[in-house]
Amino acid sequence: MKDTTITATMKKRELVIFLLCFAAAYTLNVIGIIKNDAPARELVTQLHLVLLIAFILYGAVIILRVLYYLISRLWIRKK
Amino acid sequence: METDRRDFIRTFSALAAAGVFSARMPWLSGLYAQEALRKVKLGMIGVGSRGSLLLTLLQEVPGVEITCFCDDYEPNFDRAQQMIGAGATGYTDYRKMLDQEQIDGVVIATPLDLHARMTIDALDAGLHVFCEKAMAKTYEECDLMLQAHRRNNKILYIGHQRLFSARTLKGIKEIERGSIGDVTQIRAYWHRNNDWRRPVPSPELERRINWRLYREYSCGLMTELASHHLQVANWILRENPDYVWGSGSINHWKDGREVYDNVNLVYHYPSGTHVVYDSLISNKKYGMQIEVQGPLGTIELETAYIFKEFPEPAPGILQLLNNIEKQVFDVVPVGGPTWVPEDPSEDRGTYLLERIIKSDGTDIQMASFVSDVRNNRLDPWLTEQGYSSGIATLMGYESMLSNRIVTWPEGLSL
Repeated sequence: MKDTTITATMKKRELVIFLLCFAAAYTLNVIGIIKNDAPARELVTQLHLVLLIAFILYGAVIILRVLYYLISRLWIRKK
Repeated sequence: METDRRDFIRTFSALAAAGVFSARMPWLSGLYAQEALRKVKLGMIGVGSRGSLLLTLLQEVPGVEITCFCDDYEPNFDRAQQMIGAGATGYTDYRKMLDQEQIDGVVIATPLDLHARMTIDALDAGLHVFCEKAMAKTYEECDLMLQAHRRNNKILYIGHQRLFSARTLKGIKEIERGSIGDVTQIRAYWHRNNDWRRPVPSPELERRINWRLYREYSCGLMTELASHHLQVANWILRENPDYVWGSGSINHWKDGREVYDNVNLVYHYPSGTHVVYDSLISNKKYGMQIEVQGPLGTIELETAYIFKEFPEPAPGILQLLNNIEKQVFDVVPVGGPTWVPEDPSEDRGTYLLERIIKSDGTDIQMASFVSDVRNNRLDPWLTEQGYSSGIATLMGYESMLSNRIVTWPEGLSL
């Protein structure tokens, strides 16, 4: 079995993707508060939900990236 | 078990002292100072199934000595002797016991028709009395008991343990806080599915053992079950019913019994509130409950749950996600129905207490009685609760028997 190397660039890329997911989830929270006339304190009190949604989005992005990777490998082999 | 109960009584007392229950429940204050113990000497009159339970609970209260007991049914007598031990004197005539024993009070757990004369005799003998519910079998007997209590200035407890149940006390505090708004209706029911019979060793003992089934001794479901819920209703509404109409029948257990096996009543109170009550012993799907209803919510007292009519909305983000989900997955109707069923409110309810409490209040009530006897502390309101519940119970029974509306009787002491 080969050793796996996680480079600093890779770490940085994953962190940026997760932060983007968190920002998207937080935007959802803001829209939810405005559209449903919810109290502004939910910007802070619902952070646990925001975090959960951020992880779900991050998971979805991982699945999409894995699919993209597998399809592109198949494409290269066929060529 | 014994230690658990003592701990529970101690915890309950501490909660009461801390004001977890309502401030308007002064009868709980008697429990606070259980530690300065002077021995309280009590006698038991009637040690059948309920009586022996009360005896067990009393034996677990610190500082109580059961010095004598009375029962004229041999198996009960023998069991009581075994439970208490040789130190207690047994009698078959309660009058002899009252004459010969030096005791502070008695606990009466006999058939309903005997409550009045035993209680009055004991009060007149200068003793404090705990008498099982319902108070008595007639209006006049209830009144005579109340007069004897006042005349002798002695404690008279009627066995309505919900006055000491943590679930009821917390529920009533929520009602007083206005959590459900004004009380607009109380719906109470008590459903069982059994014949309510006790095994009889020989036929001549039938009426004596199954006294609950015969009108000579009992008013059936009304005095044995409904009296509890009517006491709570009177307590919540802080008034007594001005009239009642009801109907009862024997439609399932046609085995020679004389009392109804199903009863349905509507009590009207001066404030305009109704208590809708029913009880039957041929179906137990709904069990028992007291539902106190108001414009803002419902409190179920037997289980200590509150159900809000307008629950707090979900957080904005969840509402947003739900809306997105609905827009994506819901079927779009092309035309609406002309009639839809009235859906109940969606709140699943919130438990009112910090922890699950199984006690129905009987253990606390016995501890409170002992404490009040020790301190010679009278609470007339407590006795009046038993009295007004007793009268309301008998009004319902009379209404069913006579098939007419019955009003609160005139000329009573309360």
